[in-house]
Amino acid sequence: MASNVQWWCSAQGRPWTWRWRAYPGIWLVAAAVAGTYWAISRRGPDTPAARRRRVIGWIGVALVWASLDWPLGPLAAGYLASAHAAQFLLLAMIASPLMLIGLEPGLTARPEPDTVRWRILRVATTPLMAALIFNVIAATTHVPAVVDGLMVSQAGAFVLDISWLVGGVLLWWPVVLSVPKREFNVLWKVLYLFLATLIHSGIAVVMLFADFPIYSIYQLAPPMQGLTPMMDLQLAGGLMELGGGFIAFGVMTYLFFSWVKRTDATAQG
Amino acid sequence: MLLLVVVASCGGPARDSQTLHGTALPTPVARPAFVLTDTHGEPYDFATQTKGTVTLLYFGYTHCPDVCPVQMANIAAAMRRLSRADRQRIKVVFVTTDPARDSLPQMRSWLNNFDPAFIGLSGTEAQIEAAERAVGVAIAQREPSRPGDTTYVVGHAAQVYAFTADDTAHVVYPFGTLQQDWAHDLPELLRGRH
Repeated sequence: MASNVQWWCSAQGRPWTWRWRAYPGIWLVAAAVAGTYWAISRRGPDTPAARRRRVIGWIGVALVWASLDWPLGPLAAGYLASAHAAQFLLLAMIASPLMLIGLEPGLTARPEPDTVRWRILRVATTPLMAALIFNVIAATTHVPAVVDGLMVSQAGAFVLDISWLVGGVLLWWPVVLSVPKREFNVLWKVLYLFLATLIHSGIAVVMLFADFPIYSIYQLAPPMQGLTPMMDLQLAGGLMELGGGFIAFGVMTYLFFSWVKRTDATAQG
Repeated sequence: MLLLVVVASCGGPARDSQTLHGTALPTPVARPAFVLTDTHGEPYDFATQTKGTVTLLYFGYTHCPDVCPVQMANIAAAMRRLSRADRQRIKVVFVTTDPARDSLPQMRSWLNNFDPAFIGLSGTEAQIEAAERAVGVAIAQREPSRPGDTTYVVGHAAQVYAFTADDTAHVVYPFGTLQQDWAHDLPELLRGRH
């Protein structure tokens, strides 16, 4: 039984089985995320709209847990680059914005005690800084030497997973929540999302057109039926390109047409 | 853009393109002499039938959950990058270390997943042990899958021996050898580099 418990998902080199495994570290982190989220999201007015937003936010929290825990977590940690890409998409591109939708808009614009924590948050969530941090995280955590080096240890895999969550929250913050003391209108948000996800798209292209499987950890992993490492890498690239692109362009389209609709309504009214 | 270049270029440690990526043997191994049975049921005289050709020799078993399929798949992937003529100049020989479970048709079917040209050999346990001794690899051992389990795994040598035209193996390829390494080394082995 003890061999069936591990605190975090990391590469094991053992053949994959569909036997459930326990990852208590993931439960603790998921509980910490949920607790922190509960503490932040309960602020603000208790209106029907706010309650709807909170439900969406809690779906985001549930997705964080689902992306880290069995089976996606261990599959991503030691078997399939495509599962790793799916985990990245879930954490950074889906769960993060959903969690932010559940928060009170203008969270950082409210007058709060001028503590170091709030000052860091305000600086990190400015569009330039948020895009920079997200892209540095996305680029470095997809460098083969970094992935191959980190995924073999539970601490390394933990760092990788959590950095994606943090990067995703920062990326989406200026889009979903108000940015204090700045005119960051819809058109700026569209431009921001386009520019901020370019490197993400570049990583996907590298995966799609690589000559060889770029991650040793997945190339040398016990094979999954019918999926060669090269097919797996291309699937990962496709997921990153199409999945990430679909989300980013979907949001950009939504933002743009919402803005057009509001502008028309203002002009007519 | 710089980051993308970093991503694209960090496929592994930089290596000298002139030297083989395999592990050099301190003492080269002469092409061994043993006769086993191929997947068509015919006797296969390893020394005679592979003489003078680049030959990759591996001891493994088809129920192997990790190392064997990865080694075979990586060799096959690299072979597909060679010209048809070059592919025909390389023989890949897989000797089962689990003759009890690896029937000849089963071995053929398993090898076909990688490359139908791969040669599968079997024999009695004594014959296979003699072949292992001839090459100088550790003798394969059965081990229970889990304590008290009736199913078993086979502990066996994980390295591939690369015999060249001089009928000698100067390098071996341990588990962990990547497709990139094979793709680099196979043409070099064909050129007689060792």
